[in-house]
Amino acid sequence: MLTDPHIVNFDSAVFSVESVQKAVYRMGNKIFASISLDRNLIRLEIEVKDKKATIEEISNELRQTVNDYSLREKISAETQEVRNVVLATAFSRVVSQENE
Amino acid sequence: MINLYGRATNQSIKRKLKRLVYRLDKHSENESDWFSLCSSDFQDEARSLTLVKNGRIPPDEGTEYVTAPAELGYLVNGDIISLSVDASRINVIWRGNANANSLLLTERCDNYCLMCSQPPKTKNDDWLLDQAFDAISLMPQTAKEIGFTGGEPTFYGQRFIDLVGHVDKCLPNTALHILSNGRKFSDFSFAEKYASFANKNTMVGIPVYGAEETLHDYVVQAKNAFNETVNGVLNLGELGQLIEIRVVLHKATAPQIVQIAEFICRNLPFVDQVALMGLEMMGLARGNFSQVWIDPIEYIEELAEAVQMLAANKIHTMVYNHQLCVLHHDIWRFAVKSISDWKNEYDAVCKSCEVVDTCGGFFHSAKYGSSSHIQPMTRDGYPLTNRPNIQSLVTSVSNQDTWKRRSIPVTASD
Amino acid sequence: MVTSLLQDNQERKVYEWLPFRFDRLRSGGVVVTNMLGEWLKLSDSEFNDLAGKVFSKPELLIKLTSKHIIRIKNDKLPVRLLALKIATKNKNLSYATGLHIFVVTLRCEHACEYCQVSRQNSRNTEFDMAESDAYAALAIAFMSPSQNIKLEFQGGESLLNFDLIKKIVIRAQEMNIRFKKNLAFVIATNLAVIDDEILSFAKTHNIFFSTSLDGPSSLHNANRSRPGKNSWELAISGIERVRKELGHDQVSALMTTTDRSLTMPKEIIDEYVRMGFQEIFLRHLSPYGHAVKSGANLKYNNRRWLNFYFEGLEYIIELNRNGTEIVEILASTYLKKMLTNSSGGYVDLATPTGAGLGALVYNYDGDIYASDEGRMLKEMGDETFKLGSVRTHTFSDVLLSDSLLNAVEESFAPSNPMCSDCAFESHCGSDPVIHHATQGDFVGFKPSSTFCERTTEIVPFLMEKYETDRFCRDLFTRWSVR
Repeated sequence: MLTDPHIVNFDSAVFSVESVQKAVYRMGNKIFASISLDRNLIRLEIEVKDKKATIEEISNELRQTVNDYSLREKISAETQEVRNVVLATAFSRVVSQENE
Repeated sequence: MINLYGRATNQSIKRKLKRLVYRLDKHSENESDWFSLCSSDFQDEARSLTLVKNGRIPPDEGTEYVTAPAELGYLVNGDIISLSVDASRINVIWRGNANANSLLLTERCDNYCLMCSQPPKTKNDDWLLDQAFDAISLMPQTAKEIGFTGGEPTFYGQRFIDLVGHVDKCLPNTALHILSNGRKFSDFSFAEKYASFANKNTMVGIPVYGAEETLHDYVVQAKNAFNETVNGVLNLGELGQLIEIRVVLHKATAPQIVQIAEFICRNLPFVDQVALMGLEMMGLARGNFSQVWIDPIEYIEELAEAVQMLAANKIHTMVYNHQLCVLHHDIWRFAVKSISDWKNEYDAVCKSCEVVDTCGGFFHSAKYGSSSHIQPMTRDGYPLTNRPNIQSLVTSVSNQDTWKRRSIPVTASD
Repeated sequence: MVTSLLQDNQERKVYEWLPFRFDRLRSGGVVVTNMLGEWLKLSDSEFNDLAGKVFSKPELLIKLTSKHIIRIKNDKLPVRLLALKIATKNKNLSYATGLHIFVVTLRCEHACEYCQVSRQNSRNTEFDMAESDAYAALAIAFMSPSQNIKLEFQGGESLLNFDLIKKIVIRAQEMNIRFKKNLAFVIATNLAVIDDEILSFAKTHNIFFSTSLDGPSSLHNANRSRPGKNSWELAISGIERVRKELGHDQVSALMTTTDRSLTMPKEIIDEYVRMGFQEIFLRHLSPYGHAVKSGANLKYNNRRWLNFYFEGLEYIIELNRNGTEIVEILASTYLKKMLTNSSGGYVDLATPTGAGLGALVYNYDGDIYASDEGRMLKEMGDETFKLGSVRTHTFSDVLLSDSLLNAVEESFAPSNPMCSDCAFESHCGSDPVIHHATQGDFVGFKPSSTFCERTTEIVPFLMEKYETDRFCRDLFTRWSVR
C-alpha cells in the first residue's frame, strides 16, 4: 500500500493502458505506482521515490512520458505495414545470399 | 583549345560518299603529310581516298583527296575522322595523342540539367551511333581508354548494348567509361542485358545530385529522375557492374555535398569510385548562371569533409576541375590534374605558385566564371603572399567584359 | 526557363512516416533513429513538426527524407534501400561462433584482486586442461560455420601450460588443411613467464599476444599482485620482448578497471601512449571479483565510471587533435553501429547476444560456456551459462542447448520492455550475462541497468561531439571503419 499517494488520471479514450504502464516502468527509478481503471479514467496512484524532486516535476514528466508512449503507439501502428515489407525484403535476401 | 572540326581547304572528290568514318593510314614511311583513308569495311584500297595536310597536292591526277585546314594540322597516323557526305567538312573523332577520347553518341536526353554542358536536342541523330560503330572497328587495340558521352547514351536501348558488346569484341583490353544518367538501368532486364555484354573494363559514370529526390530532380529538371537513377545504380550494383558516382558542385549541390557523401556511404557503399567535379561554365550553365554559379572557396570546408568521409569509407574519390588554391590542403592528394596544358592571363599570379605543376589549371570556359580567390600557394598549402585578400589582382566575375583569360589548349575530351 | 522544382516538388508531395524511434535528451532536443540506427538530432520544434506531421519546411524535409525517417507517400525506393542496409547489417548473424577460448590451466603466479578463477599453487596440474579434452574442443571449434576462426588461449596464466598450447596450435593447423578456415591464434598472458622458446614458437606460427596493462606501475601493481611485486615491470619488458622478436603490432593490451582506476584515466591513457599502443579499451568496472553489489551502490559506481570514461575519452580526443593517434575501442564499437551498416564485431555489445553465438569457452575441465563471464560465474557457484561438455556434446548440441537458447531469446533486445522502444537500440547490445549476475534475470530492469545507462549516456555524448566538432566528425568516421 502506498502511504502518501498522489493521483494522476489519464482519459482512457485518449491513452491506452499499455502506454501508461510503459511510462510507469520507464520512471520506475523515480516513482512507485499502482494503476487501476475507474470508468473512463486510467487512475495512477504514485509515490515519489526521489525526495529531491517535486510532485509537479514528476507529474509533468509522467504526463510527457505517457504522451510520448502514446505517440510511439501511433507511429508503430501507422508504419507497421511498411516495416513488415522492409523486413520481409531484407531477410529474403539474407537467405538468398547464404544460398550462394 | 584544339579544334575538332574544320572545313577542307581543297578537295577533289566529286561523288557522294557512302562511308563517312575513316582512319588515317600513313601513305609511306617518309610522308607525314599524306594519308590513305581506311574505312571500316577495309575495302576499296585501290580507289582509297587520301587526306593531305599543309597544302600538299597528290601528284597523281586521279587521286581523290581532301586537304585538311591548318587548325587540323595536328592529325597523325592512326587518327580517325568523319567526313561530310560531300567531303567538305572534317570532324576529328579519335586522336591517338589524346589522354582519352570520347564518342558522342547522341544529343538527346531525358534529363535537362541546370548546368548541362551539352544541351539536349530532340532531333534524330542516329548517325552518331552508326559512326561510333565504325570508329570502334578502326581503333587500335592498344587504345587505353575510350568514353561514351551524350546526351544520354542508353537512349538507344538494345543498340547501345550492341555497341558495348562491339567494344568488347574489337577492343577487349580498352577501358570503356560510359556517362549516363542511369535511369534506364532501373529496368532490371535492361541492366541484365548490359551486364552480360560489359566486360571487366567497362564502367558507368552516373550523377547523383542529392541525398533525396527533391534536390536531385530540381538539378536535373526532370520528375522521378532520382528514383530511376538510384534504382539503376542498385541494379547495376546487384549485377556486379563497375560504377562511378559523379557530383557536379554548384550553388544547389555544394551546400549539400556532405549529406550526399553520407548518402553514398550508407546507401551505395558498393560503388567503385566517386568523382566530384567543378562546374564548367558551358552550355546551359551560362544561361542559368544565377542558379548555379558559386565561388568554390565558399564550399571549401564542406568539400573537404565530404571527400574525407568517402575516403575513410574506402571509396576511391577524386576531385576534378578545381584549382589547388581553392581546395582545402587536406584533400590536395585527391585532386586530379585533368587539364593537360594551360596558359592564361594569370601568369603573374600563378607563376610564383609552388604547386602549379600539379594543379589542374583552368578550363577555357573559365572566363565565364572563376573563383575570386585564385592565388599562389606553397607546397604545404599556405598562401604564398601575406596578403589575405588578393582580390585586387583578380578581375571580378561580374565584370565579364574585362575578363581576359586566354583560351587554354585542352584535350579533345574537354 | 528553369522551373524552381525544389519548392514546387515539396509543396505538391505528400509525406508519411517510415518506422522510427525517438528519445528526448536531458539537455534538450530529441534523437530520432530509423530502422537501421541512422540518426538525427532534432530541436524540440523540429520534432514537434515530425510528430504532428507538419511537413512544410524544406530543410527539415530534406533531412528527414534522406535519413529514411519519412518518405514521399508510397515511394518504393526507401523500402528497397532500408531492406538492403538491414540485410547487410544482419549478414553476420548466421556466421556463428568465430571465437573459441581454451582455458588451458587455472594455475597462475599472480594474485590479482579482481580475479575469480586462478589457483596460486603453480605446480598443481589438476587444474590443467587434458590433451584429450583440448582435441575434442578443437573438433567442436572447427564445426563452426564461420570462415574466420580465432583460437584464444587463456587461464589462469596460459603460458604455464605452454606445452598444451603448442600441441593445440599444431593440431589445429593440421586439421585446417582439410577445413581451410582463416585461422588466428592469440595467447592471453601476463607475460611474466615469457621466454625465448615461446617467442620462437609464436614467431613460427604467427601467434598474437594479448596482455594486461591496467595503467602506470603504481596502479597496475596495486591491482595485480605477485611475489616480487613486479607485475608491471614484467608486463612492460614482456611487451618489449615480443615486439622486438615478432613485430610492434603482435601484442595488444587490455585493462581491467577497478575503483583505483577511476581517479586516473589520463595516467592510464598516457601509459598506453607511452608504450606505443594505438588503441585502448576503457572497460567498465568489472562486477566480478568482489561481492557483486546491487542497488544504490551499483548506480553510484556506474556514475563514477561514466565520469571516468568521459574524462578519458575527452583526453583521447585531444591527444588525437594534437597528432597522437589512439583509438578508444568502446566508442569505436558504438560508432560502427551509428555510422555504418556493420554490426559492430564486439561480442559484449551485440544483439542477439554474442555469448555463445559469437564465442565459446572451453574450460580446463572440458565444460563449455557461453562466454568468459559465464565461466567466471561458475567459479562463483552459478552454472547457468554452462552449455555442456566437450566429452559429450557436439557443436550443434551446444548451440541448441536450452540454457543458451533461453539466454539468447530472453535477452534479444527488440523483444524487451523499453528496449523495443529505445532510439538507441540499434547502437546497443543485450548482454544477458551481466544482467544475470547483477539483477538475477537475463533481461534486467532497464532503468537500473548499468549497461543501459552506459549506452544512453555514451551514445548521445558521441552524437553531440559528432554534430558540433568537425575534427570529431572526421575522427569518429575513421574510428567507425577500422
